[in-house]
Amino acid sequence: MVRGISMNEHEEEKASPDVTAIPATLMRWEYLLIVYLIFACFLVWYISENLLVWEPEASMWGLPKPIAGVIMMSITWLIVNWVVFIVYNIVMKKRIREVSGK
Amino acid sequence: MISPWSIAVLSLLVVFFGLTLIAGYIAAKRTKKGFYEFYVAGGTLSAITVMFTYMATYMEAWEFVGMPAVIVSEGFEWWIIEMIFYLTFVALLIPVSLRIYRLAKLFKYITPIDVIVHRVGGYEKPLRILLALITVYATIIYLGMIYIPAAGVLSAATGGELSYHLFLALYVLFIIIYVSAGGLRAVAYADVIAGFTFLVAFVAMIYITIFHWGGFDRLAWAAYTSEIAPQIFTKTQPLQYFITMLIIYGASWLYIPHLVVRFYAAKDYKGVLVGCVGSNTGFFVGAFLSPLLLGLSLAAYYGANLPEVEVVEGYVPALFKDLFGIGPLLALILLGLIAITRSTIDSMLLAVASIIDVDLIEKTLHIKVSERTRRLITTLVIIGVALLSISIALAPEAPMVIIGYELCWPAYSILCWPLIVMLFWPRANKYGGFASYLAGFISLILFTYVIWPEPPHNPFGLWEGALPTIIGLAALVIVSLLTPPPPKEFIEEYYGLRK
Repeated sequence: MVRGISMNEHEEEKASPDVTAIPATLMRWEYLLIVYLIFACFLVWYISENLLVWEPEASMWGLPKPIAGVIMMSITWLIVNWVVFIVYNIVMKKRIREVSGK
Repeated sequence: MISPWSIAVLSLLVVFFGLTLIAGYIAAKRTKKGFYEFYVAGGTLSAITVMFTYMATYMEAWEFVGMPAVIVSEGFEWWIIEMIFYLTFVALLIPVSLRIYRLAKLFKYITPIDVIVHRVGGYEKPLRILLALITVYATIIYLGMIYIPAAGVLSAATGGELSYHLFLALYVLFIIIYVSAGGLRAVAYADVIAGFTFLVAFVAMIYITIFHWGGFDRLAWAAYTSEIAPQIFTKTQPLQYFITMLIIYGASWLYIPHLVVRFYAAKDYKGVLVGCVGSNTGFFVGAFLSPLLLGLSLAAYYGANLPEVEVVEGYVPALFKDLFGIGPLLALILLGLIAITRSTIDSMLLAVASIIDVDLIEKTLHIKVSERTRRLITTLVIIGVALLSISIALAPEAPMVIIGYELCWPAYSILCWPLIVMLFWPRANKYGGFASYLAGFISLILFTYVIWPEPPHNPFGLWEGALPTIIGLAALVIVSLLTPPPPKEFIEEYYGLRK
């Protein structure tokens, strides 16, 4: 056992419900994150190969292509940020209720 | 004779650090005794404080002056590459941080290294030394990288009247005094101040976009049709560089030593969730909008006639100076710039100090000394690291962003990736864990300095940190599978399977 890093029974009992509610390994639905990463690879391929160009005569959404590309990418991660937050907030509250027996 | 404006810039630096020193002093008075309090604020930081401190620590000169400068000095693709990594980072930050928070609460981690050493579960002494080496290596480069814009911004604001090296010396001196005074709680309070001052500079950029350029679309087209545009809006890196930046570099941000302790310090899980979502939203402003507006403004305003500066990060203050002239508004913007460039450095020094102090002196060398002596040693360590980092900033050969991609983050990547795999893979054992860090670090040093000394330090067009990370992960999986699994009791305790 690593020095100074171990948990005795007393400490384990004292762990707050929110700590106990967090699963150590992946929950089944969390594997969806892998699907998202595959989508992210596709998005990066599309932007880097098709939009990162200097074509002053072409535009997308009324903007130069590279600018439109980064906006597309950044809106994606901003949305993902909030979706992930909302999902984990719901899941954590549910798990804490279960752990607390309420 | 020094001009009144240059004296004003110098005074801004002194006033800002004076205020943060007061915050540090107050925090030091409130800081209780003990490592757990000193390094992770006793694990009691509220959700809002975690959010601000994570955001302020994360966002620094890299976003505000580094990225805009690199857009015009190296090309727009380098900023796109930075945006790519957020696709991975924002998706995985909450899942990974919650697990680290859980372990930190259960096992009272103090230093960033604790979470790795605990999971590996063996070879503790050599492992702590190895991890300390990797962390200190990365930190010295990172700190040196931040010193460049910290001093460059102020020197450029004076039009070069006060030298880059003068500001470099003053900056390091103030940082050393400041961090020695407080501990993590002091850093957290001062980061809140930095967050608010950042808003001043951001509002100025919005003002420029609307009133100077006539709106975002006009700014975008002005930059895209400027003289410098054909050079900067061009792709030079292969697709595999972009993809490895997305996956490997992106995830490496999940374990940055000075950031991960923010989650150790969270009071509850809400601190982690709000800290993650709030700071990521802040990054949309600070890491996306801010560099984009500034970088486009630089291209549109200067075209191919970029101002003469000692380091390219000086383009941003030069732009503000040319647009607003010398006056109170420019002074306010500079104050924001000072806050941003400073907010990461102190946290990093503190993280390194905790590693040397707790990981090496206490847990590896077993030196028993009083807390007073220990804090003295800590201060000396801070001074040593801060001084060593100056060597990177004395005569920089590349923009800070390129130094970061090429030299600094590869080291964070070899630290982070094996940890992420071990967090979720109970079969990983101490043999695999130790082999992973050893193979990762040795290959990183060999590839970077011996075998392929030219970027990207591999013949495949991958991101600089990709190959050492892959080798480290291969070592983890192969060695773990070829050796006995970890003890059953350890797995039960670590993964909470005891029933």
